Amino acid sequence: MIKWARSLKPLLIFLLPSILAGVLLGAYPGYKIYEFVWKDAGFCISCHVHDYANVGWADSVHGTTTTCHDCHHQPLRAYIKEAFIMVVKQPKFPKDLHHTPYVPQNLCAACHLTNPHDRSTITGPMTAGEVDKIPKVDQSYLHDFHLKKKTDFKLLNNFELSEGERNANPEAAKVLSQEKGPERPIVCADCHGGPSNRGHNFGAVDTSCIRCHQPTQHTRMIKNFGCRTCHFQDFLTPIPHKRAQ
Amino acid sequence: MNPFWKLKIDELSPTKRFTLQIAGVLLGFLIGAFLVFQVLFLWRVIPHGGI
Repeated sequence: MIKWARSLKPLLIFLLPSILAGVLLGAYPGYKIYEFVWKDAGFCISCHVHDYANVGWADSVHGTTTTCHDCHHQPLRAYIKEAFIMVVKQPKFPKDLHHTPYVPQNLCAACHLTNPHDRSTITGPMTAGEVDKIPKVDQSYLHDFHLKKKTDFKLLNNFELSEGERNANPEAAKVLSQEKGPERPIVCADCHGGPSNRGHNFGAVDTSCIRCHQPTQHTRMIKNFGCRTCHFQDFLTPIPHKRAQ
Repeated sequence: MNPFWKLKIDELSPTKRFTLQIAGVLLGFLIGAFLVFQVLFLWRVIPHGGI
């Protein structure tokens, strides 16, 4: 082994300047590849199973201010597994889209709460100062009220998408599952995610309200006008003492 | 023909030496690009999603 290494030494010494020059030349393309993989949605979209999520994301406010990786986190082993699956058995929409993705609370919190636990998850083009200027939901009346409450309904990404939602022109679910599990705090995805509005347009829909507020959905007011005609403004109304802080 | 690790650099023709240097640059280019990509990618992935 030592003899082999000794005989290789002159060759390595001869090649070292060339290799070092190559390393310097390769650093910038390496950075550009990272930038494309991590910051350009085009990389993700080229393979991922999506329905109208791609269009929804591009049209939404998140389309210009975030990247896929801002919200969709996964461990390193998942990237290796994905690369393998893409070669061996590439998934096809709609049959292989089984459920909505899991977006943990802290991801939304990074931009939408006044004092988030962690902002290191933000990778998009916005500066820290710009993120500070985003309206904070814990400073608005009904958002703050809901964030302090608990529910025992299971998160919507636990459920298989129905056949109606797994075709090229998906129909939004009219009724959400009532299946219950352990009690947990209400999270953003309870109202701003799930089958009704999974296409990256995160506006809450009445279906989400009715899931918890079952008894009120039979009133004539709700049937004629829906929930948000009256209650939407309270989700934007600032809490005076919190605003002053 | 000698294997590449037994090559005597001084005995090679200028053309072969130049070819070797080009190969070295290409090898370095691949190593540099791979290392920079890997370091930056892992720096992002591991803190957020773990291993």
